[in-house]
Amino acid sequence: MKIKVSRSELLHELSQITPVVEKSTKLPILSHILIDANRDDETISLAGSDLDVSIKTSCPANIEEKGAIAIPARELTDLVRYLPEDSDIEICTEDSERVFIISGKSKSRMVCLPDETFPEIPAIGGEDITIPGDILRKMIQMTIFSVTQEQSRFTLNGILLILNRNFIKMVSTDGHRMAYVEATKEFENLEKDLKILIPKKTVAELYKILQADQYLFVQFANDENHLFFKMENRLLVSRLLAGQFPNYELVIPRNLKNKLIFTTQKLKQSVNRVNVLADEISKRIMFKITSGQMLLRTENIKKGEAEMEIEIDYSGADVSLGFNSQYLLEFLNVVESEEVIFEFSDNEAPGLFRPHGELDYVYKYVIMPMSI
Amino acid sequence: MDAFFAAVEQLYRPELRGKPVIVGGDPDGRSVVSAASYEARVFGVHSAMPMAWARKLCPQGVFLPGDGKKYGQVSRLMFGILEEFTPDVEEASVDEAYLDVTGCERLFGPPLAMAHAIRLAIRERLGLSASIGVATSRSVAKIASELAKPDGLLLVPPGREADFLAPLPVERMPGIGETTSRRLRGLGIRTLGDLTLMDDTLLARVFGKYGPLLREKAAGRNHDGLREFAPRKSMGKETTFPRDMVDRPAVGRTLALLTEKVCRKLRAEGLAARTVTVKLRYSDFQTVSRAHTFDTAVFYDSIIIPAVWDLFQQLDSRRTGIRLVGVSLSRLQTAVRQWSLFDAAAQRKQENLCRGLDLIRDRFGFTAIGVASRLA
Repeated sequence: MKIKVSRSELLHELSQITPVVEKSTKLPILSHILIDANRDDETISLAGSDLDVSIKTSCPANIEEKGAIAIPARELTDLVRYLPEDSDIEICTEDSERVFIISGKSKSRMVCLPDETFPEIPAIGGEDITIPGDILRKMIQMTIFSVTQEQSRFTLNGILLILNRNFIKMVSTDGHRMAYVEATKEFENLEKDLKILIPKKTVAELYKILQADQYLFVQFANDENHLFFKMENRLLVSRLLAGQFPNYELVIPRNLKNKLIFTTQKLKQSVNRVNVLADEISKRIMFKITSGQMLLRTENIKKGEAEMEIEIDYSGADVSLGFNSQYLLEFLNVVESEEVIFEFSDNEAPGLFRPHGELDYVYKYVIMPMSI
Repeated sequence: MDAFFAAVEQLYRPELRGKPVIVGGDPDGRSVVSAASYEARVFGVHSAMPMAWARKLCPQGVFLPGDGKKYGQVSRLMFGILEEFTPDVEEASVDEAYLDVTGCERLFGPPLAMAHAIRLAIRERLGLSASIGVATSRSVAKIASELAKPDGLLLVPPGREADFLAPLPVERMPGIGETTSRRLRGLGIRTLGDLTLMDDTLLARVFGKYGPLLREKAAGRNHDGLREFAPRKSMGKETTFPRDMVDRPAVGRTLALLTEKVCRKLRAEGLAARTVTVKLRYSDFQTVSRAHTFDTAVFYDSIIIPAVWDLFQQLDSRRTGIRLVGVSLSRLQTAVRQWSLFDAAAQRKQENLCRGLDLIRDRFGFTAIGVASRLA
């Protein structure tokens, strides 16, 4: 193999792949990136995988001699990063396990692995559905934070994606709070409704790709074992998670007795302020709601207490609710509306947060309270 | 307190006075010495030594199983006496305390006189001997009290800390454990005096931020006050099997039992934990541990026991006998209940169940009620 590529184009693609590449070296090949120059369209393909998630992308190249090789990911990325910005890089193999990387006056020889040992990345299968890139990115942003951090809770360990001819939904939960977002969108070539759990790591990688570049559309497809997300020249392949996601519809509260409206920024600032003195581990913030006023309060036996008053339009009975500040802030950081609605009934029932005003999507965030 | 558990036994049973008394577990099993009277120490017995060795060294010794309740009572009386002198008492252990006597001179005279009065009060009212170190910092005071033992009093005058510490081996300093002392010895540092002569940059290179701090400590210059509010960082229980265990389900049941006990203690202190760690020691002393972190702090057996079981399954990769198992809970917080979204009703039931179990056990003892699987 002998190819020439632009340093900046190669680095951009490498930085998309390196996050999935295994840091531990249980299987040495998984710490490598496969460079394949066997195509006829003046591009090379690049791929990285940890067996659960794989990313395949391409980069324009001048191919003098076809071939393929698996190069250590971290070293290759670092080497390319430290080369001058607008340089060209020549990559040529010495044999099946060595490669020269030459640019200007710099010349390196790296020990590699033969390309045939690299795991096969499945080709996109099934009918594909086109989802607008910005909708997908926004929906992930609104749900990703409430995915559980506990590896063992495998039925919650991802975002539930629901596709129907008329809408797209995403739901995530860690068992204590739940984020739900629904957008209206016609999916005409969808044959039957889809309900799929996208693993957490896949969602995180997908989100990174969608943030790094703007994509008009993402093509989505699935077969029995895999999920495929194709964005122009990039393909993200994920293993499918088995497991029954809990019945999310049951826990979205309806007919909550009380309703408050807050200016999003003001509520966020207030929470941030009192959060400074919240207990580090429980992160509890008390909402003391009385007629006309809400008091946000935190207590920390070591550090002290903090309070913040907010005027509210409320005339019901006094209620005291405790919430995890992290849960509140994660929602307030991504909600787009200027005002948010908070609905609640009592200190053991779920609280419901949602944006206030006209929006082209439905966003609901359910939080269970904390008590002593 | 000097040889606390042994001294309490001798106090309650006068016939044991003047005899070597050794408190610990079963002398024929694998337990260790928790306290040895000074009469026993003459034979070379010391705490943390396997009981079997102690028996060999001192066959004529009186071996006692230990009575935590009794020691707890005496300990409370002892702390009561200390609190008559100053409210600033830090409970370091059942028989060890740090007192901040700043500003108490008017009432009790200079620190030396006060220390004397405390020792006297403990001797007269409890019939036990205590050793006291007086110094400008916690660590120096602790070292001084150790050197004062048995039944002594040692004052390190302000400004003379470095001279006092200089000839002592580095391990004497609380906080310098096996690892740090090994690395210090690697640098040719044997005494605290050697350590004070070292260059900060070198120490920083070897020990990071902790390096220069170590030197300050060795010079007796860190005037660390009391840890007035020292919240518990973790709690745990472990057990050494009388014989190495091959039967994995039985090991699992032991782990479940330990977990129940730790969880009960957790709830009794009004705490909840974010992280649970399981530890295994194989017959060849290879020791492994693995932890799991929950999304929120938990305090029920029914959530923690399955996590412990999973950890055990993941951890146990060998087919060798298991010598010791342990469970510990960490990242503790006051038990704030985070209600569950999907099974709040079950959560409430579990909570009631645990509360009921705790009440029964408070009244009738731990073995009064338990899960049926333990009968197997």
